Amino acid sequence: MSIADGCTSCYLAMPNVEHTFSVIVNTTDRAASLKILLQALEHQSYPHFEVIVVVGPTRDHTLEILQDYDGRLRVLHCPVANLSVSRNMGLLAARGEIVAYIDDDAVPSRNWLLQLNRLFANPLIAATGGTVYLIHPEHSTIQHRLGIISALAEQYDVRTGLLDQLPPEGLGRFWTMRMMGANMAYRRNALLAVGGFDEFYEWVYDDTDLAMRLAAAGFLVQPTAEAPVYHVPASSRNRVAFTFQGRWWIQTKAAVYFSIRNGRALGVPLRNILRRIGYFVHGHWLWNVDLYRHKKISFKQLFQASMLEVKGAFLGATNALFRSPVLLSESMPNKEDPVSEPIKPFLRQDSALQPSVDPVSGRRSTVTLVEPPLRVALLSFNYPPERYEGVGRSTNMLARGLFELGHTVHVLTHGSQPTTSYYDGAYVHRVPYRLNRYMQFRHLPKVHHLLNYSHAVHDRLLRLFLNDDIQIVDTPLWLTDGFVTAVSGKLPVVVRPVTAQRQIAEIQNQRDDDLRLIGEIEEALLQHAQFIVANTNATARALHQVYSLSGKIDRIRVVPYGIEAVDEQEIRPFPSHRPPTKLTVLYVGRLEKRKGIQDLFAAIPKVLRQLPHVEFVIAGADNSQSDGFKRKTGLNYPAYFRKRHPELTANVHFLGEVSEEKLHSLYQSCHLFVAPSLYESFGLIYLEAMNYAKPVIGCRAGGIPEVVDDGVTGRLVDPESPEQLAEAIVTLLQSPRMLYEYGVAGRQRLLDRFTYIHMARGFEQVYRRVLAEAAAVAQSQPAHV
Amino acid sequence: MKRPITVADILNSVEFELLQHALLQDDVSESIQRLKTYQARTRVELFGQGKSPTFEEVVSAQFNANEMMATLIQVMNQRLEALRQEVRQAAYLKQHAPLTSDSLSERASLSERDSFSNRWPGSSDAQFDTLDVFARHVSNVDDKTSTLGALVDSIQHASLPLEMEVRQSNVPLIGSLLNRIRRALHELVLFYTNKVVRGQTEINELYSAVLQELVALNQAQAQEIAQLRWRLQRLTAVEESNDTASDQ
Repeated sequence: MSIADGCTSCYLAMPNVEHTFSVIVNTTDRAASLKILLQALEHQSYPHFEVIVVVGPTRDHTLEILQDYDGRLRVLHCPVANLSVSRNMGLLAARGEIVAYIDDDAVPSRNWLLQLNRLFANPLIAATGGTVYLIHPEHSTIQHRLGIISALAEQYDVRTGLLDQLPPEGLGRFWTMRMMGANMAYRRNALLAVGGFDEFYEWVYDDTDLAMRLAAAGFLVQPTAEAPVYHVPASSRNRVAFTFQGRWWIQTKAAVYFSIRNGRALGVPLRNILRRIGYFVHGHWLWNVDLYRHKKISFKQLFQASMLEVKGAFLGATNALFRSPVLLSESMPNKEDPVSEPIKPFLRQDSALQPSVDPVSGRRSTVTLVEPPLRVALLSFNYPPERYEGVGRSTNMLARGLFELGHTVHVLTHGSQPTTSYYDGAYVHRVPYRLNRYMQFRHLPKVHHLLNYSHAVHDRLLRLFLNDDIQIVDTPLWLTDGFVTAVSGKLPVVVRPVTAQRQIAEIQNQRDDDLRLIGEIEEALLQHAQFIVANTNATARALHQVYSLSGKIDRIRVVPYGIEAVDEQEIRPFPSHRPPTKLTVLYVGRLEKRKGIQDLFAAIPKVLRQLPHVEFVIAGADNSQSDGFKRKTGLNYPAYFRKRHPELTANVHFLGEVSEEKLHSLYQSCHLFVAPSLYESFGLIYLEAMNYAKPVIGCRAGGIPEVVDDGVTGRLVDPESPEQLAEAIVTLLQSPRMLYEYGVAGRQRLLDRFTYIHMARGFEQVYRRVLAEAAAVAQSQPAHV
Repeated sequence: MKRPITVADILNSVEFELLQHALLQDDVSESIQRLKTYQARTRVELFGQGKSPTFEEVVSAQFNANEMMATLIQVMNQRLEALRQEVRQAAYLKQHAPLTSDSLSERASLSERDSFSNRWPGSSDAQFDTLDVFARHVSNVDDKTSTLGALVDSIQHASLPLEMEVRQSNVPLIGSLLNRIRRALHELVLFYTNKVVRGQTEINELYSAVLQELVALNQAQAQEIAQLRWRLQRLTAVEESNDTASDQ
């Protein structure tokens, strides 16, 4: 038998073991975070676990929160503010075969325990832990993944794979893999065998020291890139979250102790240990000096911090040299054999019906669920708050709506680093991509980018499927983010079409291989999708015309987009009895042919001839390069208008691309909104104007008539008809009463039909239908052997 | 005239990349390269010009290299496990083809998992379908076997030695000398290229052997499950008849 044979047989023979877990949470004065964690634990997919909360000397309402879970978890009281003592107490009380530690300010992924259990199926593994994503308001990052540490506490916390950074550079030796305290799990027996946590470590380095001791004792420590937790750092007695304020000298104390104890035990030369200690103290000094230079701390604070560093190093060194480690066997002699009693399961019958929780604010839906919440992945290349545009906005609204209905939402968007943050009801996963696949299409830049990004998204979706148990993927047709996933058939895909690329190419008269193929890719995506949710009937009809969807007719449904209705106080309709003297007409949208900017340019002089006091405000990025206007005229749109009508420049203001806040103030302050697009699949801009009770003028094209009620909430004109457009503008501006009534009616129409909750409810029904059909298909299939 | 690219080409490429994804060993090969570089650098540092290395330095370097190799083996082991999962998954999906929503059937396993999730009434005794969502569905692996056959063929084809034509030089006087030098250089390149190809073929053969074994094992499991089902049905029938008899 070859080696390969042996390995394969070994793996194939590996049983599927169901371990019992004790999830241990050590907490002091972080009631709000603890509440979020306990709510999140209700969503675990693996049921065989108990929860033990070890409460330190707390002064907040932690115990009140725990009362709500009476009978479902065990509460222990740790008399001292020492993390290692607290961890050891939890260990001794644990009845599970595996003890899993999670920070009280972290939230586990749904399959966290399932994945850990999977790893422990390998009987050789004694300790493991997953990735830790730091959820930060501005700088989210990966805090820990497959970390390694040396006997001198040199560490690489984030590695791309098990082989990354090997062999590591450093003074130390005995590099070993380690887990982060926020996410680590051990076989209870192994932990007891090495004496648990060394209680000298009151904060930090407790986890690394244990990994080092386990490895030195011959146990296999093997972290994994899966089983993530999302860490939302909360303030504690040791540090103020997201600031530089903290008792950092305790870190120095722990690091010095760690280096001396482990360095000596593992034969690191004394000079290297001394150099390393010097680095710790000196490094923190330099950091403090830097803070002082940037006026973050006073000179007095600098002096105190520097002295404390010395004190920390001294305490660490003396304890390491002259005292034995405080291990479990000495401090708590009553350690027993594990699992003498069965675990008390944390999950209840109704756990499956708990709504999703916001890991940052702790907000939850108030809707009472009758079915288990869904786990949905929404795709959008652009996404707020970094990038606002149509698809990103509608995806954001959908995400928020689904969260309000109790579902767990993951959004995958483009980013330079593979980080995860939480924004507006959804986990936002950023997906970087490289152009290292599909090289045969590199001469077609749009297709090449599209395929590579879509593949990167697919890879990330698989990871989410593994860890967060997503059930369904929802992708916009625009940029076809979900194309590879749809082709792979790994997950059901719902497509949200907007204007098809083939339509745009026809409208803008663009013909090249790149665009042709993107059209074909869109068509293939629609064919592979389980369901298509169009935002208007017009979109569905147009898709049917440009792409062959005859076999998909019963798989299409119309769910209009929705937005968030602004507060009544923010709406400023002018009093109908006192009309304004100076009127403003607002245009929002990219400056390109499809958006009707050329028709507006033609209409403006006609309007100003009759109403010279009117002002036009045009907000949006110039797109003359893409639509070929600049090539034809040599000028961009604003320059062209100014050259053509120099006498009107005082009445027409080009603002370029504006911020979200500015856009809202523009909507608030205008009197009439105009967007004569030649085609819009929906036209969110009309809704946004209606939101502020503004009358709107659009074209009878695409889905616009389904949003704008002609003669009730605004006026519709024929596309490419500047005369009609000018006439409609003049008519409305001359009738303040009409302006007022149309505006108010528009606002009411939005509240009745176009809020994001309406939208989310529509999508929710589609998702449930797709999943129910999948289940039905599975049940109807005979077992095949 | 060149044939224009169509969406069929793109779909083929996507399928290829998805398949490739399962077999990619990029970081392993990169790590082997890194290990070699490290060995070379360390050798120069330890045994090159300058101060003789201490025993400790030599041992330390050796430990580092060992550490890398051990991790490398560990990762390859994991890859093998991933490959096994991939094959089972492919077999499962194949079983449910040509359903357009082959994913739907995959969802079935998910919904089963959901149903077990709903099934747990807080009891640790509840039956739990762990880690392998495909474990219950043992597939018909005939298609996979034929695919494997094609794979083996292609591997054999890839192992044929490469040949290269050498363009003859027309330079007067030194032409023949140039031809000889050029031929020698080309042969050198071919020698190393064929060596790499042979190495790669061996690896590929190893993979195909593992795949074949996995498929065979899958078949065996399928039979075993069939037998177990049959026995279960028989036992259930016997139990029911006993119940009926006792009622009467």
